Amino acid sequence: MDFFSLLAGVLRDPVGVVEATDDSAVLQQRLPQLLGMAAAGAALFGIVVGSYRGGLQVPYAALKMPLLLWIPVMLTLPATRALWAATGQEVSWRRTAVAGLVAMARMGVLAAAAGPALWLVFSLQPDYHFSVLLLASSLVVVGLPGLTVLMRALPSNGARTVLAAGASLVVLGLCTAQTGWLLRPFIARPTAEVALFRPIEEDIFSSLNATTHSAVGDYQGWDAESKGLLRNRR
Amino acid sequence: MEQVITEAPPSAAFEGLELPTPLEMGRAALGFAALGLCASLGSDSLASASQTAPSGLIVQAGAMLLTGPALLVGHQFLGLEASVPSLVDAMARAFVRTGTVALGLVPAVLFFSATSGLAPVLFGLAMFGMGLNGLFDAIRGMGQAEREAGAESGRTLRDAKMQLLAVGWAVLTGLIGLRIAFHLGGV
Repeated sequence: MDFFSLLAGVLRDPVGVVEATDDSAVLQQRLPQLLGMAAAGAALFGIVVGSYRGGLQVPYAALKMPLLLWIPVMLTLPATRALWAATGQEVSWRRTAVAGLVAMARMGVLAAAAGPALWLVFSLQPDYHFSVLLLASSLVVVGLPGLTVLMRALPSNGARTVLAAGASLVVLGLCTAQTGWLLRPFIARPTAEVALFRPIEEDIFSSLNATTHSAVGDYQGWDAESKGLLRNRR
Repeated sequence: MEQVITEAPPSAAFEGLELPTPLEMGRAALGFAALGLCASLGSDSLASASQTAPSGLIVQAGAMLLTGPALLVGHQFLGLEASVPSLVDAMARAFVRTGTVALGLVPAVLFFSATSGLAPVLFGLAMFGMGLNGLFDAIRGMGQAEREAGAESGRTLRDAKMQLLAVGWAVLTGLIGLRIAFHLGGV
């Protein structure tokens, strides 16, 4: 299957691609193509996101966006497999990994497709906090069709599988949100210095709370503390 | 010639029953222990970390060990038909499945522990969700064990008694699990 046929398959029949790729020889052939789709699509989306600030922020965001798609999926795959096992459906590691790979490729391609629409809004230089919320919403919109591939590609066992799928999506959503916070900034504040990463402090939820208040003009201030095992120890 | 039977024939209720292996039980226990340990790594204080680390295994195993005998006593008292090993099997398999999920959540909890202060909260929520699911699993397993045992006559009444007993046991186990968790949390 050539690259464009695989691309069409990822968009039209991702579960079929998972079924066909669940074989060592085929996986070896398609692995670079699927990884390439995920990386290139996410990088293009990153370029659009970085264009809000421009300059160095463009390559920085292009570099980090593939990590935003990959890290949460890698963290969630063990949980997904365990949740499926709890429903009585044993799934092989290879099947789980292939489903995750196709899901990431689909997310990457959809993110790249959403790029122009997002660029149009960013080109109007909207408010920073609105832009952050728009980015988060865009990631949800392009992420969900990709993530549901992961659920549909695994065997079904009625209502219990639905519960396992729901729990997996919750874990994936939480990990994606925290990874996005960790890898920030994607949209650099207009007055802030452009940096590849910011210090590890607080978490995504306290940040979104502060940003939501700021977006509606309620500036409460935010005293960020360094937390977690990797926190700055002073 | 009469045949002298020197051994009792194996009970039909025990045939085909396979309790979880020690490896499966060990893996489940490891899952709970590892989850608690990972959640404790990002704690601000050693005291908090030392309370969180063992809590996963203590809450899950402790609640089940404390209430399991009561269930077995109640089951016999009500004159129900399922064999004791089949009930133990239902509880043990629920523990194994829940522990397997806990092991699967370790990477995600470790990630949050390393990068934020959210790990204890997420750990608590995960334990609550997994505990609920485990109890439902056990109720289902025990109900099935009772349905498969005993004669057809009187089945409806037996099923009703078993459901009531299993739900009552699950509520008690859940409350005891919460009490142990709050005690370990210093409440």
